[in-house]
Amino acid sequence: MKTILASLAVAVETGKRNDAKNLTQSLVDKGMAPLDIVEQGLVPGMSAIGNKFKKNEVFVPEMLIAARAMKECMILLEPLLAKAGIKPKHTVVIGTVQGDLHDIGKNLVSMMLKGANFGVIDLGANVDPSKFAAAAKEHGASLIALSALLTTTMPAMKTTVDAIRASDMAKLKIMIGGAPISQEYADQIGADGYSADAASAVDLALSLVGETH
Amino acid sequence: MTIPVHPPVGGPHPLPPPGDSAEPLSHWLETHGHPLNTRCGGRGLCNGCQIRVESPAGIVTERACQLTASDLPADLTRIQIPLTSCRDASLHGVTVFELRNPGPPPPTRPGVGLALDIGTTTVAGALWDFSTGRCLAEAAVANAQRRHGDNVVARISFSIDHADGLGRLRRALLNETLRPLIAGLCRDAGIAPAAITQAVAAGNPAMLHTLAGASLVGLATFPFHPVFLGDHHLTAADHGLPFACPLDLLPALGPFVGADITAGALASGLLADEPPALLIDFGTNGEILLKHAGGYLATATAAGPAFEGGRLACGAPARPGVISSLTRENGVWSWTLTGGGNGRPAGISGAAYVDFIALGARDDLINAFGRFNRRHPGVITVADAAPGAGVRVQLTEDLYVSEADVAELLQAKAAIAAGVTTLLELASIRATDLHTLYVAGGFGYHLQPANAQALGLLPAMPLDRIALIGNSSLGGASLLLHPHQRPALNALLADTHVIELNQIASFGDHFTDALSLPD
Ligand code: B12
Repeated sequence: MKTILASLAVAVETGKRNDAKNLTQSLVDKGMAPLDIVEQGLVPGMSAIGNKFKKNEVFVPEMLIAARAMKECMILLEPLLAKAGIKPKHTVVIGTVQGDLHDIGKNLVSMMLKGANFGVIDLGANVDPSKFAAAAKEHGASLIALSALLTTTMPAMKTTVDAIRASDMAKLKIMIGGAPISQEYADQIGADGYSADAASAVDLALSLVGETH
Repeated sequence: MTIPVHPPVGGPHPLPPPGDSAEPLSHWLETHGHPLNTRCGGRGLCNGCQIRVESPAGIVTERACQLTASDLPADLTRIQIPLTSCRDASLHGVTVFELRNPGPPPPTRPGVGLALDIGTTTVAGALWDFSTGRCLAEAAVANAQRRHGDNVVARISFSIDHADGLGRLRRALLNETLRPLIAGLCRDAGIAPAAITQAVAAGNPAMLHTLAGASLVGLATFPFHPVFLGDHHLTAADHGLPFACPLDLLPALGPFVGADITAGALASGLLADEPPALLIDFGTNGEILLKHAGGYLATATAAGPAFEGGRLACGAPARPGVISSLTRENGVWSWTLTGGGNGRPAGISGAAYVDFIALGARDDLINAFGRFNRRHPGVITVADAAPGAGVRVQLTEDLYVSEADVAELLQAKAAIAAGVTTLLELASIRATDLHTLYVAGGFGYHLQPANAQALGLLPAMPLDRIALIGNSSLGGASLLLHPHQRPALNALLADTHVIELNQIASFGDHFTDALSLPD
């Protein structure tokens, strides 16, 4: 099983989605626990591609195909994880703010977070500001992540942060990102963190929930 | 006391310090004849207006829109403006267009017609003599609104975030762009502006809204509620235009699929073609119109300004002196310049970047994901560069292409290619089935189609079915000066279904695939 896990990590890292899916299925068939498959197959694959990204050895295209391969595996594993009653240590609620329908970057961030063992509640795009706090409460999340790709929807990000701060989930950590966003803007609207890309988003998320990296 | 300013061309230019201590340096430089590329509208969101501030302590690179005179060191030695920070005042749009519309020639009548194409980047116009059917003059100028942002959404933000933002956009377009353009056209044609008897304008909804002074708020966020999409008539006198007839704004297909596409569809001949046929307009918004057996599908892909040279280290619009095409033989790059000549190249055009990637991939300098082959002797690594900008291919002494540039281009390409794939998929059409592919727009006009196909920017199909038609928006506006063209246009408006690509689940998957080069 060790060699299959190693091949799975490589298949995820290199974005071979069919291989990744088949390898995951064969591990499931061999009776391996779903959490072990995530932790010993998918997580190493995603962290390898994330590290290469940080070193500028790969760019967004490679990240996106790796995330897509990971997604195929998670489609198989998520029902099994749920059935086994496995609750991730940290859950993040993520979404693109109201008025904005861009979701490719947000989906990549989601997949990277799953690849770091976060539970991810994805509210999709064009999300009403009030939905975030409600979902965080329902799922016991410790972090909210907001994405915006348009300069015209940056104000909706502020409205959303304000709505969270005005709710009974006011103390939740909030991280934001997207092409027009900057650290300065995060400070300005009272978000707890910003990161420029999906690889550093994982480090940020870990530090915001108090996991040293 | 003067401040020594060093522009990229010409000698040093000592300037008096700004009178107002709160004035951003970008504004101060502009008033002294050095407009910078404030493409995010001076919001400090991009690096378009970076300048180098030099003092004995060293050189710091800063955004001029975020600096005032008081931020400058007391022992300043000079301010240097890099080439990439100059807003390109000499930008020229393409006024070339082909009228492929097969209809009968318009009946002759007295009068002079003005056709306008109001683009986000450039504004073009043509004057027509109705009595002879001849074009009297044509010209293009840069849209003066560009200082408030390099894309429509940045302009929309500007109108919302600034006091009198809409008024400032409108005046930039009317007083600084259209009036000089019309004056120049009339001078070239040897007529008085008052002789114009009919005027028609095409352009995207945001541009036509600013021209009409209509609020842009409804175009800012989804769901979009533009003030108008259909025909709109402006009284010339109310808008300070120098002629007596109204200015007719052509109808759009959707909030981001503008009248420029409506007009382009007419000029290209697509409306009369046997389906399936496709029109792609390569501007910042990358609009696509597909004619299929059951009607038309239209969309906008938001490719961004990369193919117009925006956000690339050595990128430039295709103006004279800029590399317009590249070839590579036996490991040696050679090029041609826009407008000919063999001077020192001043920048790299979008079409030349397409050549670069296609030839670089052919010769194994670049892999399918756009990564450079670090072991190739043609690839160099420069220390201390911005992320991704250090791994480069040097083309000339001053010009290079970096991995980061290629990543930016592939992203723009992916948006358009995924848009095309999605529309074809929705209509169950294969690219090879297309009878004709019309490529419109300034960048498109300079493309080498085979290289664009190697990139996956144009679909794989026989080259003889691809037509580069130039500024079809201006061409269509010219045709629509004639009432007998109107029924065809009305049919297009009635039969078009506008697709919001965000709402098509497979788009993201196609985008991911299209980020790499086709095998
Ligand atoms: C693909 C795309 C689209 C697709 C979106 C499909 C989809 N399902 O998402 C389509 C074609 C539908 C589209 C539509 C529009 N688009 Co668009 N689009 C793009 C494009 C080309 C790429 C964006 C992308 O997905 N990149 C890939 C991902 C991986 O990168 P990313 O999103 O930046 O995400 C990374 C980081 O930002 C960060 N990140 C992102 N989110 C988060 C969240 C957190 C918490 C963190 C920590 C990090 C983080 O991590 C990610 C991975 O590293 C950009 C141009 C560009 N080159 O960026 C324009 C662009 C964003 N679009 C633009 C525009 C104008 C539009 C439209 C308004 C116009 C139109 N075409 O009709 C509509 C808007 C509709 C709406 N209401 O949302 C403009 C915005 C300009 C501005 N000033 O704001 C851009 C910049 C293009 C341009 N210059 O003109 N678009």
